[in-house]
Amino acid sequence: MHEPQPTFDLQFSAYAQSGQHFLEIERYDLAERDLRQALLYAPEDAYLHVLLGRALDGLDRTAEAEEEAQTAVRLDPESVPGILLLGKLRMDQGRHREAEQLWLDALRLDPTEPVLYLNYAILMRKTGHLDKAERLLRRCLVLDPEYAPAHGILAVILAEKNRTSDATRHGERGLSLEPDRDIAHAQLGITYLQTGHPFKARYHLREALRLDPRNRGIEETFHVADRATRAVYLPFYFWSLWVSRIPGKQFAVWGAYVVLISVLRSSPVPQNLVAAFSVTYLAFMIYTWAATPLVNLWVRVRPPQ
Amino acid sequence: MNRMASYPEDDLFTPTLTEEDDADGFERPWSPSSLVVLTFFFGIPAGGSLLALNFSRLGMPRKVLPAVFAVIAATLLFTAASGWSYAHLHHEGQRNLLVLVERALQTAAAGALAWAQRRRYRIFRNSAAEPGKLLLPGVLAAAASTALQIALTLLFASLF
Repeated sequence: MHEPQPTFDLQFSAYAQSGQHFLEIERYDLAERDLRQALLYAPEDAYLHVLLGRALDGLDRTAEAEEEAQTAVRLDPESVPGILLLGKLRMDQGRHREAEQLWLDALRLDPTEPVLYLNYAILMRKTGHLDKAERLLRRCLVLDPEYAPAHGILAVILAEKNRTSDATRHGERGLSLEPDRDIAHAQLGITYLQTGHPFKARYHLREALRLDPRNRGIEETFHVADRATRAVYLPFYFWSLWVSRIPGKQFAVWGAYVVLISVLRSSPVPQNLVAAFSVTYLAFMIYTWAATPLVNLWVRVRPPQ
Repeated sequence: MNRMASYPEDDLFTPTLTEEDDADGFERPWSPSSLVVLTFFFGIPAGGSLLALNFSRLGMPRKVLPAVFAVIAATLLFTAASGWSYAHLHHEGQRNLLVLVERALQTAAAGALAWAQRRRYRIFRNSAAEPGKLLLPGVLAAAASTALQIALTLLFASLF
């Protein structure tokens, strides 16, 4: 048996570590270069294949990323990171059932891995199973109470479920754990946007955009928040937020208006007041239809700063 | 040892997703909530028929026929009620009330169809693809629905 060469070890470690570092700072091209070098020294290292797969996924080279993930799982069938990556690629391809099955298999291998719960919860949210997503994230936070991404996603889910205070608490906790993470700012921004705090939402989404100016998703959400802070749109923002929370939405409002008008017409209330109420309601309805084109026009006149 | 045994009571570890949760089979579906609005203004034949077709666009072909039958039945029921009201209700207030109740029920029926599509449409929206354009089919459906409702109401009014 040969003794491992010190130079061999040093070079391997240097490539593997710099590859991992470049991956963390999202320089996927450089990560790929160094991880491929590291793999020349250790072609059977399943974890290196996973890292390379992640870099290739970051470069949108999905087929190659999948190949690397498959290789990792072939080399080590119990490689949780390998299964995790394979599941993530399946989820991105819309093959949600396969992703779920892979992550359930991974959870059987390691039911104490928070990142598995997080990814499974993201899948559940994407497919509209919000209750299960919430339960998965709560289990994840039992395993690691300081796992910032879990707080962030949980905040967004709770905001969607109209549990405002719980949502902001988790969003703020997630940001306090990782104050320089763009996604933590973005998640708190989305949470604020969905819970009626457009100015705070705009601030955090702008911070997120400052930290990652290339993220198109954050940029689009920032523009949504920016529109919500414009005076011409603000009443409509609060109105639509309120209407989205009542059963029957705008139809329930219309129904309530019709019933109210019918009652008022046969009541001793002066009819000119009833007419004024009707005109006000109609004017407001016209405003709700016009609010979006109006704010779009205003954004052209005064772009976000 | 199976470490799952540490959470024996858990349904967190049982599969949740079905065939309908996969993001495939979409053909530029329309927004179900927009179709409910269309129903509100132009009746169940307009929004309901497009909602029925939308099942196919959402990759749920098995639900198209039941939805079509439900829309046909609802159209006949509501136009029969309108025809009856023209033949038998001579007080304008009563007729108006019936129209309002019909409108509410038609919107609720469309809402039920839209509810059945909401999760699938959410998956579609998460795929970042663009939904189908509704303007032309909406206008055509609205015109056809108005004509159909007038014709059927007159027919039922003459029968009652």
